[in-house]
Amino acid sequence: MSITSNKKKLLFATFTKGILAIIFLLLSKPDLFAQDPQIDRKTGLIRGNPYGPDKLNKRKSGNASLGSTGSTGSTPLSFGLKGGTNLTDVRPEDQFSVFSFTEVPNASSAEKQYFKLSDNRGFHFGFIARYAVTGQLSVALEPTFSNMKYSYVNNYTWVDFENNSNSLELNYEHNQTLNYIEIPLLIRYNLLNSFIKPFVHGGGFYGRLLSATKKINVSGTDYAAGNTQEFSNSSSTLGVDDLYIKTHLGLIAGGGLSYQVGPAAVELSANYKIGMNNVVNEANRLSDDTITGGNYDVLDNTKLRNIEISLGLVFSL
Amino acid sequence: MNYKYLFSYKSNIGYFLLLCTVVLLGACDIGDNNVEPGENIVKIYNNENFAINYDPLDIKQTSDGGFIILSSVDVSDTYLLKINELGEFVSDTLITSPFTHPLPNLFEIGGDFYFFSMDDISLATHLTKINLSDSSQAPEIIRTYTEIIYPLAVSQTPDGGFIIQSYNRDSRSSKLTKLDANFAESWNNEYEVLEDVENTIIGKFSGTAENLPYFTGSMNDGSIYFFNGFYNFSLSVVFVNSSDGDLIGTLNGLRDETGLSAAQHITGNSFAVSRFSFDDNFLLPLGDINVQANDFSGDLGGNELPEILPSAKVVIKRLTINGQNVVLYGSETKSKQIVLYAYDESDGALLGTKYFGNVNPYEIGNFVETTDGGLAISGRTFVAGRFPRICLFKISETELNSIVP
Repeated sequence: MSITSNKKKLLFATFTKGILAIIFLLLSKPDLFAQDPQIDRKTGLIRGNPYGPDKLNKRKSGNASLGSTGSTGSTPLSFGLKGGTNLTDVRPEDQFSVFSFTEVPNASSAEKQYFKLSDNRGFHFGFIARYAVTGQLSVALEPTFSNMKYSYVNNYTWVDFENNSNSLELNYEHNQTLNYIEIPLLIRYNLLNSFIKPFVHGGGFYGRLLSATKKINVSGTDYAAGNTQEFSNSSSTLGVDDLYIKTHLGLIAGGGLSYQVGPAAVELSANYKIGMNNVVNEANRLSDDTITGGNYDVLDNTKLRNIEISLGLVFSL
Repeated sequence: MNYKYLFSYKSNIGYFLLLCTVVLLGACDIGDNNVEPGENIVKIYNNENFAINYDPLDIKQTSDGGFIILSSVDVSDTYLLKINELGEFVSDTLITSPFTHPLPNLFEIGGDFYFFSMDDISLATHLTKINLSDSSQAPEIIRTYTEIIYPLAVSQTPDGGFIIQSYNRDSRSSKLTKLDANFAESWNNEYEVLEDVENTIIGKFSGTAENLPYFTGSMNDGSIYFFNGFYNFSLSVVFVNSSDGDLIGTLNGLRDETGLSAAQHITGNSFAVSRFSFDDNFLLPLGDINVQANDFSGDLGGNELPEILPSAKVVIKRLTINGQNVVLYGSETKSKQIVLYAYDESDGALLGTKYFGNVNPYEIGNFVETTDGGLAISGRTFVAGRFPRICLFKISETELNSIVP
């Protein structure tokens, strides 16, 4: 087994153990972040961890404020919906190509030119289930449908060296769409207990691939057919589920603002997600002849990074 | 509703353990997502030359795990492509006039590679050596056989020698020449065509006529050699005594419209053959041929495969795949894919098929077993539908075994 493989396994194991350690720490020490009960000077309510060492909050205040979780009810649990856009940034690790050039090319390139972040726009929507550990600290599961897109292009040129007017330029634009169901586990900390409540959060996510598709646009200019002719052809959408593995693990860090409107909290958040594993299926990379032999494409080993911007509405029970 | 139990400390631990278990079980594919580089390869050896035309003939694996591919270029020139174990280009050598028209076999002897080609002026046969350890990889002419003109096919014999099939335009005969392991001529013999077929032969070399399936071969014990060439007005398989080249028997075709496109001796009188009759192709993985008779190849029968391209090149080799002795056919389909058919050597039953290439045309060159138990197939593809380039498919042992369940 290769060194790279061992590193991957070690990274995966470390990541998993880290997440588990954080979870158990929080669960086994529910009072870890507990605050001493305090009387809120404005409301007169007792603030603090209702499940902390001091049980005053739980007993005396049935509607204790839980910070920006949006909860005004008697439980520390809140639910909500969220949705928004996401931008995908691809970080190829090992690059592959069907072509190997026998002469140094002038205008062709075997390397893919990846589109920049702002051109790889997708969307997401999902649910929020949040559990307030303390007034400032909460843990949330946010099962999300995440649609990620990323694209790249390859340019190739052929020239008749005896008659330069005979040439062909081809551009292969490959557009990938990956649909994941993701389960992020987020630990959130409210920075202020103000009217508009800023917060930061972080954690990890587990993603499961639902489907992967690819659309290939071939365009070019043919200078050899008797006249200069530009052309463009699009492939139908190809299912490429087998070219990706099912699992996508990663870390999330981000923050946002929460604004309480009656029983609900409107939340605007931005997250940066770092994929920890190569999402491309190495064993199946070459398995689709339509893509490799027909459109000269082989997926690079790829880790996905995303910027997510979400708008959510959270209700407490 | 009482949420105390739902969100109790114990319940929460249970939920998270359940979640973590699901995540861990579902994430197993990360650890398994690892393939050794070079196990599987799909490569096209491209350049920006609009007008060049490669036509690969043979592939051999080199001691460094890479490959060397023998190809013709622009119909006549010779091209050698060296690639590494990952399929990446390493170096190439273009050999131009007068050493042209390489015969479709590359021989490895003592770590060096040899091939035969034709002198485009004198029509004589050259034996050329490529020393891969020499950084320049300059071809070295080992010997020129002035008496062997229009060389058409060559193969190695069980004794380490070679048999070369050629055409003698003066006597209007096919000629077979036996070389020993030191490349010295042992004997030669001629077999009358009884008509002038030089134009057909020239058409092959100039690329203006159909490239008929000339080939040579040996019975496993080395007692009988055979060649597929013109004899007695027809494209025929001629069986000869290996000690002097005396004719033993024939398998006649019908002019050049019916005949054999490839043959591989199995055992006794059993051969694996492919034959064509006009535009139809038949594969006969286990057929009896009486090498001492004068029979008609059209009587051999076989499995008709309408998907194979008319006049398609066919390669037949005996391999052991997944513990079974297999006769592996390689050819090309009407949809311009490379195809492999695996047959059970013992009973001729079809075991499996595999196709390579799609959308753009792919044609077979040759295939070779690799040291890691896989299979490497060289071929030609037309990039963007128009630029003829050498391609390589390498499949792992696992994938090869999957052809033969």
